[in-house]
Amino acid sequence: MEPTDLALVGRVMEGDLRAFNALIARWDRGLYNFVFRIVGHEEDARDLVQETVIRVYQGVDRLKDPRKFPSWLFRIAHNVCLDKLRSGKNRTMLSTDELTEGGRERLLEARIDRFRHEAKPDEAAYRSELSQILRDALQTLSEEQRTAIVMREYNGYTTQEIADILGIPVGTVRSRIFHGLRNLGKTLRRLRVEEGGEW
Amino acid sequence: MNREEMEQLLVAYLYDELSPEERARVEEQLAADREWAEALQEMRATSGVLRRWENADPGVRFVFTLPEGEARGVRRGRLARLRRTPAWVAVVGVAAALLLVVLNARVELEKGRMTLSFGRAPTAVELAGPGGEETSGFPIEPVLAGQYVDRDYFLRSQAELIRFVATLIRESEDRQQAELVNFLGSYAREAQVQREGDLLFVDQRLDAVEGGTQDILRRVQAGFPSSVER
Repeated sequence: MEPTDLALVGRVMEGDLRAFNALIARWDRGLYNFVFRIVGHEEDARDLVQETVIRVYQGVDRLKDPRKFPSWLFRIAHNVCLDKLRSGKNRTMLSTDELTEGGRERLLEARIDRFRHEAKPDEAAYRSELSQILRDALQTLSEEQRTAIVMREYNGYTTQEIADILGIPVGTVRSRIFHGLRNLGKTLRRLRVEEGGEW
Repeated sequence: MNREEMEQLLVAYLYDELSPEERARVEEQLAADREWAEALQEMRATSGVLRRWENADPGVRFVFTLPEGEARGVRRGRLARLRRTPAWVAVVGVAAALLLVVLNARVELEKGRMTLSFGRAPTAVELAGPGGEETSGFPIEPVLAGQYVDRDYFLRSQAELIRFVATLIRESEDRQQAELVNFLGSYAREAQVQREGDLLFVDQRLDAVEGGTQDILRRVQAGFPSSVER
């Protein structure tokens, strides 16, 4: 029988490295996708998850309640992302179009146009193109709105849990999601219309 | 209910996080105001689009690779040394060097240990050292504005400077070589731990596959479910 996360955290706190790696193996996919959706770049996301893993190992002594390991893990990952975004050293290559005012939005619109009009060879190509559009669309939001939406939509945290992880009032989280979804709605409206209104 | 409050409640309503009483309040507003109903409809549609973005595979495993037997404090020390030195260290270094010149500092290097003293400029006898041999220090004699500097002083200072820099370079090379050897040693150890981690992962996956295969075999031996038999 597989040990629970709680049991593994207990072993990690006693210095068991294998338990630590087993624990990370359970969470790394969710962690990677969370970070990837925040920073929008695969290589950066891999580096940041590795950085998160190191910080988690170094700080596990300070985890007071082992039951809160998942939210603690995501809080550290979020802080790592913030450090990266604030340093401005993410590897995303920006074209000259993107550097101009509104350039990023125009490129996204062009991508949506191509998605609407070009035939997709198969389901995989369709999903890949859609993922890129959603990745770019999320990047048009502020970091605060993006983080709240990603945690709610993809990681399944309630708005109260997000508030606890980020250390902000639940009303603030809900406001960020409201405005984030409204902004995304404007961007993705044409996409939804083309696809038949409701998905 | 003000606008901001309604925005927040609408999000909670969208994700089904409200109590029955709160839901009733929101639904009352939605029925009374078409703007809120349209906002909810659009948010719901956008949320639906977002959920079509599936999770991707990271393509790598995230494994902590430091040796298991090491104490946590030692690990932190090593990681700290590998981090890049911040820029302010260089600024402080330059400032400290300038301070040393102003205070007429005397630096002594002996078997890798550095000692520092301040005060008056050394005399020619002191510079020559006991028995007339050269010392390993770098004396810096302050020169006042308008003071005459003779050729002998200039040449002596220049020779001292060259000797001092040569000593620093030699010490630095020795230190770098030692650090390189240490780094390569630790890198080799980490590579070994990584390899062991990979083997462990493969082993775990093989166990899982074997377990799954045995389970299938058991089910086959136990016979198919009646619905399949029909």
